[in-house]
Amino acid sequence: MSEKEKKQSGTEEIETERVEDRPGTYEAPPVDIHETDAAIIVEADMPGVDRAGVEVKIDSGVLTLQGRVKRKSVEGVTHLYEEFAPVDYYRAFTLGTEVDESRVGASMEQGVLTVTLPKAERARVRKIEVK
Amino acid sequence: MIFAWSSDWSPFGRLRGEINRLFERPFVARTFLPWWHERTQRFARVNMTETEDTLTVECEVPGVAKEDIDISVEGGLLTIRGERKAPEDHPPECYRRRERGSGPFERTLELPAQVDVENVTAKLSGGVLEVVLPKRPDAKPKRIDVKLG
Repeated sequence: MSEKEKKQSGTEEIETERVEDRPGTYEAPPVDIHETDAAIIVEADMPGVDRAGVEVKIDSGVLTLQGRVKRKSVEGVTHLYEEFAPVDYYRAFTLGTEVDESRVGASMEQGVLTVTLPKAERARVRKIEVK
Repeated sequence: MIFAWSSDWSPFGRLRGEINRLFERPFVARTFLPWWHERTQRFARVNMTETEDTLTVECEVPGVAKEDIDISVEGGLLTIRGERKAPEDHPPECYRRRERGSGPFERTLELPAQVDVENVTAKLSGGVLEVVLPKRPDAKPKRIDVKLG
């Protein structure tokens, strides 16, 4: 296997199945995952969720993203056309050993949750200078 | 009432689904859905609600800057146009998973009531664009008293 393939198959960032016994209905937010030399970055679309409604947890190597959508009053309101309903977001990922769990950070901006997972020292790409 | 997307993914199934939707809901004009229709079909989804005084349209646009959104009302149609910019500094090979997408989008909706265009307002919060269109006074429901004669 080439170096690149080996790195990707050893990614170990596998999406776990949604846990079926969770009460209520959830939608899985679409995510982009990219990496830099120092970190893996996860971006999830959670429109309708503000900073207060977001919860990011890491527990035993599992990263959990949850978003609570703000509910609006329906008094005197008629729905004419509905492509989306207020549904909370949930998605979980298994993290590989390359992530340093103690330094994970997250931010929420205009409905996009960004989670930064710094790579553990030994997982970082270090360029070796050839003399 | 939530309209489910057609589950027939063949090109004809999708076309048939689009045509069915066109005839089922005549007051919503057709929209063309480029890059994000193929991916998750969840970007720029819209809702339209109505009260006695206003029409309200919500559009999910997470990660879109206020400056990249253009809203216009003309001829009884509301058009929301914009672009979600892709981050410049990420080469494609640094992605492990890419579901969100980026690029231009456009939604056009037919308004079922006449609106006061001068007083339309829009607000972007939590990645959701909310456009409030006050109805023209003559478009509001008028109560008629029934007198006994």
